[in-house]
Amino acid sequence: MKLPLSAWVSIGLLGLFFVGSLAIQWPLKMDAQSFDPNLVGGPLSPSFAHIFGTDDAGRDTLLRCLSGAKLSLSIGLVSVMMATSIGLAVGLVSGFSPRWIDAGVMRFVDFVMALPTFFLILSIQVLLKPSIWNVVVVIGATSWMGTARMVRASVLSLKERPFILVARARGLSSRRLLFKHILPHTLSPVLVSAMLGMGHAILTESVLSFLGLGVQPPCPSWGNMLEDSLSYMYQAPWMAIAPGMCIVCVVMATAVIGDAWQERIQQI
Amino acid sequence: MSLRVHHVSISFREKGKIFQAVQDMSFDIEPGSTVGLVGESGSGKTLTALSILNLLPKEALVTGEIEWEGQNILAMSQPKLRAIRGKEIGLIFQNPLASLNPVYTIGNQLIETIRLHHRELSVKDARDKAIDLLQKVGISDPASRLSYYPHQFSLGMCQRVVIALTLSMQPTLLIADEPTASLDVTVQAQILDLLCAIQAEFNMSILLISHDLGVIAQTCDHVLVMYRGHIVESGPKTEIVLSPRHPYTQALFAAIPSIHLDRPVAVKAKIAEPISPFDQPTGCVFCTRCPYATDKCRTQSPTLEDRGASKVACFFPLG
Repeated sequence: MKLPLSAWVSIGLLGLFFVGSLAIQWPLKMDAQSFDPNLVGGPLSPSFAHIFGTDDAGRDTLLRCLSGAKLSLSIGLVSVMMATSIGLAVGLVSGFSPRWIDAGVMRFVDFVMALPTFFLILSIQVLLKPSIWNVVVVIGATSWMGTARMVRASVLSLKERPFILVARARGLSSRRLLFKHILPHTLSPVLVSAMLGMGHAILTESVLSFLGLGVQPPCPSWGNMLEDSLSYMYQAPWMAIAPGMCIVCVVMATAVIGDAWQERIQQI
Repeated sequence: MSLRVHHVSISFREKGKIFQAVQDMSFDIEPGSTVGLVGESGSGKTLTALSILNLLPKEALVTGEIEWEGQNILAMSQPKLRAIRGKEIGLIFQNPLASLNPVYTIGNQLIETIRLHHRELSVKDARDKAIDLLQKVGISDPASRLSYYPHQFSLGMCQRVVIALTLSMQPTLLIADEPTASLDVTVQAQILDLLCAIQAEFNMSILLISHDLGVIAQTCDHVLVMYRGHIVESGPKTEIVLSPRHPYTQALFAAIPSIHLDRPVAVKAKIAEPISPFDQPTGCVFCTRCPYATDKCRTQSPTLEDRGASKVACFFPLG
């Protein structure tokens, strides 16, 4: 597949995070150590033993970042899968149904879009006990509308294409038309937006954790590591820089891959 | 199995106004015969074709009856319709490339269609049948062509694939809506020959829709001439071609471009004033363009009446 160098670098970067987060857990069995306070205590500056230094409790920042990568990537992935499935289903139904159902569904989509998503997430997290699953479900349930609109738009234009009429004239059922002949055409842009959505989901998770409403300590996530670092901003800047760079890298990487993919679709 | 179209009218309502697309159309198609439907763009040919398969858009208001084997297609349930579509009445569309799904190989589409109506066939048997069909429609090296995507074929080849798709279900009636409009003349002749050969082999009847009188003259037994949603003349091919009686039919023949520059022109239709499709002129539909129109033509509308071997809707038929 022909993709620009930047996209390959981004894919490599995501792969590195993925492999790293798995490596510390299984072959290296170092995950536990990232939670273990060092007896020396206090934030230690970067050294050979701790490349990115340690945090205020003496825990290795690199290990905690990789451990957080596991969480961030899986939260991003699962919530995007959820959002994409909902979006696909709603878009397909809406685009293929009679006009009054379509209108009803679309007004509902407009309504959800008009909700101030982040405050909704905040209030849900405050009302329910903050947990990783809550984060996933809440992000997934509030980010499917773009996909739904996109899918609906392509279904609307696809169902007027001659090959659909001809397929109908061949006696195909509506269900078969929808799933076999319309759905595959809508997938490419959906995958691009899923890729971009993943970066967004990871950001949202970081913000929630930063506010203390996402992943709860001592479980490390990039967001709550940033929160920890706040009080040591001047003494131990590495505590903020390491997770911050992780967030920037991963979000950038998903965006670059998504863009490259989109370029490629448009070339075809 | 014969098709009987009985007083069918198709109209669309838009912003309270009614647009009559097809008005009071009646014709029969006997088994094994080829009926041609000619008319200019917008005369309602394609709508007629779609109405026979009950595939008109939901907004269309259809009255009348379309009987297939004595059953009214317009009042049929969806499952029953699906059983007839493709299996008994096949449809070939104008643009062959657009008629095929671009994301699947033609093998995939052929096998899907074959297995849709012959559920007992395994994928392998269906594949063999697909190869057979491609051979039959004149595609060389059919086994390897199964893995081709539609865009890898030329338009003529694509139309052959579409014909193979339609044939896979062995319909008894084939509706061919401008099957050769997007093809060049030599390919057009090949496709028409192919249709005729297939018709003889499978004993199908064909409803051939075209704006090209040459195509119609070459293939049909019976010809219907349509103008603005009305059948203005209907009769055996020889009658229509040799002695057209309606001024519009004559004008159509006169409009055929010829390489004989000095050919005398019998009747020339006036260049049409753009008429809103919502305006229903009183009188004959053709009166605004007819060189012979009289006051009677502008006030009363003629009905199809027997004139010799054919039927003509004109107060002053020619010839």
